[in-house]
Amino acid sequence: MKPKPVLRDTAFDLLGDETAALRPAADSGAMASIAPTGINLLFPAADSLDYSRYLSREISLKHELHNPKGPIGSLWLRGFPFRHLTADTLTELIFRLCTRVNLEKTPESVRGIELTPEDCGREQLALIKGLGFGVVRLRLDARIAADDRSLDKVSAVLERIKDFRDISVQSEVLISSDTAPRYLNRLIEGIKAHCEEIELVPDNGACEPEEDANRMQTLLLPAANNLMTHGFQMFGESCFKSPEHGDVILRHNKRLRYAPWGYYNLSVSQWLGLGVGAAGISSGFFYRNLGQLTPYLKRIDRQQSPVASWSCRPLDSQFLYRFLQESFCYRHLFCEGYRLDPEFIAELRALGWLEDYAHPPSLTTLGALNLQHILRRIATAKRVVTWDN
Amino acid sequence: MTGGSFNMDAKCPHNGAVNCGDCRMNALCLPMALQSDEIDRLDRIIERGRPLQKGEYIYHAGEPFRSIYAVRSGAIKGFTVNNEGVEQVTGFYLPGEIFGMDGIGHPNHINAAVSLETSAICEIPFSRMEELSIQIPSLQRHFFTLMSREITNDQQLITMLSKNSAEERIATLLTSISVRNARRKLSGTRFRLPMSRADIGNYLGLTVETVSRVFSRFQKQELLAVDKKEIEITDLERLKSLANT
Repeated sequence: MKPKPVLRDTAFDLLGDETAALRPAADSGAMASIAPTGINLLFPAADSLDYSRYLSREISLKHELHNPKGPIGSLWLRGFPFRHLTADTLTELIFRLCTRVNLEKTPESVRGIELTPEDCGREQLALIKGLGFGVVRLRLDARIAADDRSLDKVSAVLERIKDFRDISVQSEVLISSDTAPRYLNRLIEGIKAHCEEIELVPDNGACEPEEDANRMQTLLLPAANNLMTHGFQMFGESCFKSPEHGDVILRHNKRLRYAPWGYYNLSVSQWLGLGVGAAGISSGFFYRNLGQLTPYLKRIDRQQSPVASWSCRPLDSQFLYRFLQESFCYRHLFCEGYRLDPEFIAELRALGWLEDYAHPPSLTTLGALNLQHILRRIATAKRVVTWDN
Repeated sequence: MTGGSFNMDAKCPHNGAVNCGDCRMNALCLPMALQSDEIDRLDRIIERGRPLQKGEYIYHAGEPFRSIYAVRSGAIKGFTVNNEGVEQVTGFYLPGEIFGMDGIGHPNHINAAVSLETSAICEIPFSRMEELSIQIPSLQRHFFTLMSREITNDQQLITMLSKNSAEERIATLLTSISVRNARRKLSGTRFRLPMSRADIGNYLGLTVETVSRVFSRFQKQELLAVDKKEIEITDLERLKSLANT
């Protein structure tokens, strides 16, 4: 039985958006850009015939939004690519992309693919390496995991990947309130030496009972402390990067940004999102594609853009977006030009979510784990944030 | 690779010395259900230039990726050069084998390709392949199947070579050449190595002295007989087990 895909409730969902017209947003503009562009191709969990051809057609349909002349700073195949691609169609996809955009490798460019352990056979890994992929993001499902579940499969995959030189490994560990803490601890011990990044992704339902939320905290906090004791740095809500990770340097140099697809270099200002539910950034506006397979395919068949919604204003003009960037990237609860209500700050400090006396206010580990709640309060509660005259 | 009703022993119409049935390119020439006029059309887009001399480049690193190539005779070496000017051999390509796929995920070739001895190659320009594939759809599918297989096999060999001892690496290389020769219906136990000891060492991550020592050791162990570049494998099974293949 195929696992149910986990929809991540990111803070980006708190940003205001509006339904897209069936043409590019008037303010988005259509400009050929020489700045680096990022591309995310999203492959849904549900099977679809010829999905990669729809992706190719979508590139043409989005020509007015994205016309990258500069290098591609980041290329990722996300979701479940091997549910839709065979070895030949993956080779063809990369070949076709190469003919349309500049995939020349630079020291900063990243080419990554999301895989499950089942996708990591020796032949698949060899093909991925041969096609220029340098990062594998391993999706590990620990949502229903007993204490004594074996780690043999994961260990074998990591050893296999190690055979292919110069492939970095990231792990995305899906957890739930049913995850046994001892298993999670064993898993982290087993993978941390191999991974440049470990993200713990809670499977939060829309109406999660409070006791499950508390149980999740109980699970996440020791895991976070374990990783940080071993030198990993915490980013966002539950993402941990090794000291060698490029994002650690970007953070130090204040060049880091966050989006629903992850962290990236500030210099990559345009993001082309392709596929069901994919998101992107064009001329400072955030957009999302239709999130269901059938409507997405129908739009492409009708030669129409599958964009479903746009941010109602440019991202940088939204104070919540700027709070989001400061908190996810730098663990500060701060936005220039705005002031947080002192009572709100005191409340967060009393909860142990903010460091005492730090300026700007800095999140503790517990605070970072509760970042969604904090940002939701900032977005929805009156007088929590005021304009600083 | 399927031959349909085509005669696998037919001679290449452009070069009587080349047997189409022995050339891996025939996977393109002879996919299932290609009619003879379609084979002719495919044959017309393949460019066969003059023979290459030893040391002559097919392409340099950084050149735009426009074609892939097949070796008809001779041997080709792929290599990169790092910022310090140090060469790293990335592969050896023998008759019937395809090279140039390092460019398939990039706009330019990452490696350079140079002839190790007098060689003849076939060049397939992509743009012309695409034109023809509109008329012969199975050609394009077949092309990408072939590409993915070559890319996968190349990487698997590189990986296998990098993790083993010096003896295992050399045994793996020799058995690989043996298998590749046998595939072309040539002797799998008696062949000439077209590359130098230095190139072998570079490719396998070994010094030339280590390569020579291992060859001597293999001779003492009666695994093979060596006379300069001429190799006779006297115990193929033992060599294969040493290579873990």
